[in-house]
Amino acid sequence: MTVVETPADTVELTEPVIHDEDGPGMSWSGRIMLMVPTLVLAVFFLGPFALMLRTSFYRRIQGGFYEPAFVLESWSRLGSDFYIDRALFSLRICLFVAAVTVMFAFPFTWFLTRMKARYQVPLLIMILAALTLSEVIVAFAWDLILGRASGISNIMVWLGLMSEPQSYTPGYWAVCIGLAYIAFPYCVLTLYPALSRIDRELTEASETLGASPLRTFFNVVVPLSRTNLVAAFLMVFVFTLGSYIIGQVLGRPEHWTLSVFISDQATYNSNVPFAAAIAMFLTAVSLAIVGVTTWLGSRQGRARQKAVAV
Amino acid sequence: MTHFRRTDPRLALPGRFNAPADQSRRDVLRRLGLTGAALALPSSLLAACGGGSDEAEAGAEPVAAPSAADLTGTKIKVATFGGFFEENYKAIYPDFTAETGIEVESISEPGGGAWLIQVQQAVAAGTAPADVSMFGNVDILKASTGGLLMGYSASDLANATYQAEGFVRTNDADEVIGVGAASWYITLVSNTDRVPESPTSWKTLWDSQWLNDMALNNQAQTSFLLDITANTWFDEGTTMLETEEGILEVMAKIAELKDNVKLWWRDEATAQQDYNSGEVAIGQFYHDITQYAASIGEPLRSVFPEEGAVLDSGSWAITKTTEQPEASLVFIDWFSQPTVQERLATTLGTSPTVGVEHLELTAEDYEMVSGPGPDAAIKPYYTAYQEREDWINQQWSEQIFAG
Repeated sequence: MTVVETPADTVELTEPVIHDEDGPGMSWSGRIMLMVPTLVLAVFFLGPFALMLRTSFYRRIQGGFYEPAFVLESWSRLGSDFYIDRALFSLRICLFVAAVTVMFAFPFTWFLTRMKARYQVPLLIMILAALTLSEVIVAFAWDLILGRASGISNIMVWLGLMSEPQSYTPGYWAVCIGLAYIAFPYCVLTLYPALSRIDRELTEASETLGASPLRTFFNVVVPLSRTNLVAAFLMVFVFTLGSYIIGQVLGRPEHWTLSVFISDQATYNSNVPFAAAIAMFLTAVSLAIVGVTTWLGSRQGRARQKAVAV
Repeated sequence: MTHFRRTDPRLALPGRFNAPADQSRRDVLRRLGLTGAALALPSSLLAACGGGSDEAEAGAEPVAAPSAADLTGTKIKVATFGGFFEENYKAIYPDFTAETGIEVESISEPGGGAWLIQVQQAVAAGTAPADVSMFGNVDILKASTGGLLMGYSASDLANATYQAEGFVRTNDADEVIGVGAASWYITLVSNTDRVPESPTSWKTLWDSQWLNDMALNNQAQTSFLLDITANTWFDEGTTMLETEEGILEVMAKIAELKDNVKLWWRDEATAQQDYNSGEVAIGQFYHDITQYAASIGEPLRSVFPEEGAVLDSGSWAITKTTEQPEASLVFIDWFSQPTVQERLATTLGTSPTVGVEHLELTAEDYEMVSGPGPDAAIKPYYTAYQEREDWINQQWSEQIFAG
């Protein structure tokens, strides 16, 4: 057992070296080069972000639109039980979907990287092809698949397993399936580079020492990929938190996430200040979760390094 | 059921689009207009472009009827609700172009307020996504309050006089901002394969036999479920919606039916698909496009419930930032002709907004599009949606959408 764990720790020791390369000794040309993306980010991301923050304080005009002002009405409405409940539900379902997606995508990607190129390439192309489907198409396709009129239950009826077709949408599981489906390819593509770089000698060593493939997977591959697993998990979480069509189409109202309400407020109720306030809140919450997870991850990583060094 | 009759409108209504009397009247008005310095420029456009109210009042003299002859080759963009609705309007545009020389680019507009926000953003940026748009009643009030619409004088439109009472809408400055385009009824719609015999009362929406089998619109202000429920279950009817307590009571009743709802639709296309395929058995929908869909073979029927169908309407309105105010006025004027509205009634199945005394529809045709007529219909209490908009939205979310 201890023998198998050693390679994981050895590899982690080498990690910080990579991070420190762009440190204090960076050249002027390098800094200027970095300024371009920083500027682009500031103009195209922080600019609209600031505008949205400002809009969230605008005064709403009943039966009309809104006017510039500094009022807290949109923010206080966000504090109502209904929206707090929606926020908690959104976090719960997205964390759950992120966990399930990573659970499926990780072993899938691992096997994918170990395949011969002949099989690996077509599979990768299939995964990439799934990315071309928009959320709208995915949502309506699952609506048909899970629906009563032309869905899978019709096959069950044809096979004699059911007496009449049933509808599995809208519902909680329909939303989970839809969200996991759109997130899966992104998750695989996030994990793929890291998993394909894992040295075969490490797994071979583990197996030579008598570990079963399953034990090698859990005791060598998973610890080696911890950082990437966390990254993939966070990516899916943030990605699904922003999805609003899947929830709309495949969920009942109690399964609508905050993103659905942002879209409804902005599009159907022309209440842009309130939509902006919900969006700001959602961004803050997701940033906080990403921040805390990353901080915990790095603290744990440093602790482990210290332990190994001692 | 009786399938909706579709005729080639050009055969059904021969030669009425080129009524010489109408043309000559317009010529006279045009000459009058040409003598004026405004050259048929609508009064309010001056105001909208930064002129003071004095100019607007001066321009409001009844001399500025739009001239079709001067506008040959002009192109306007017209937005109507996408789907069957737009398709039917599109089929009429060539006749409009042939007669006026104005070309029309048809734009598919999303319903339920979504188009409004696009127009609002565009006007803020100084552009116009469409010169003329069709707006529902709640939306046109919002657009007017938000200052998105061009106002003009009623005399700018020769055919506005045909409109039935209430279909020429004005703003606070007494300028016209909307003219009736079409009325429509929201009725009880069902899939004939799933529902052999249609119920005749809105009360059926509360019947547990439709568990997870119903479709309703998800917005309080476009579904008019408050009005339907008030008129179905409460003796006070629409007056229930005058107070917050009354509205809450009505909402509590609506909350009782939510287990039946499989689809809370936002856009018509999604609902249409689910009704056609039988994914949902029954629900609320638009009488006009249901009749149209049935006429092309979809297994659908529309029933005017005994408590009354909801009567709502759409108005043509001109975006304030349009660069084609004159052509836009000609467009609205042309579509206000009783003959054109009759044609829409027989093709699209919308109910005309022009006074019934100007129509030559047969009683059978009229019943086909209007059922027992406007007197028997539920007329939405728009004031509630206007004055208590966000409060209703919040309560609606809490009562109907909370888990």
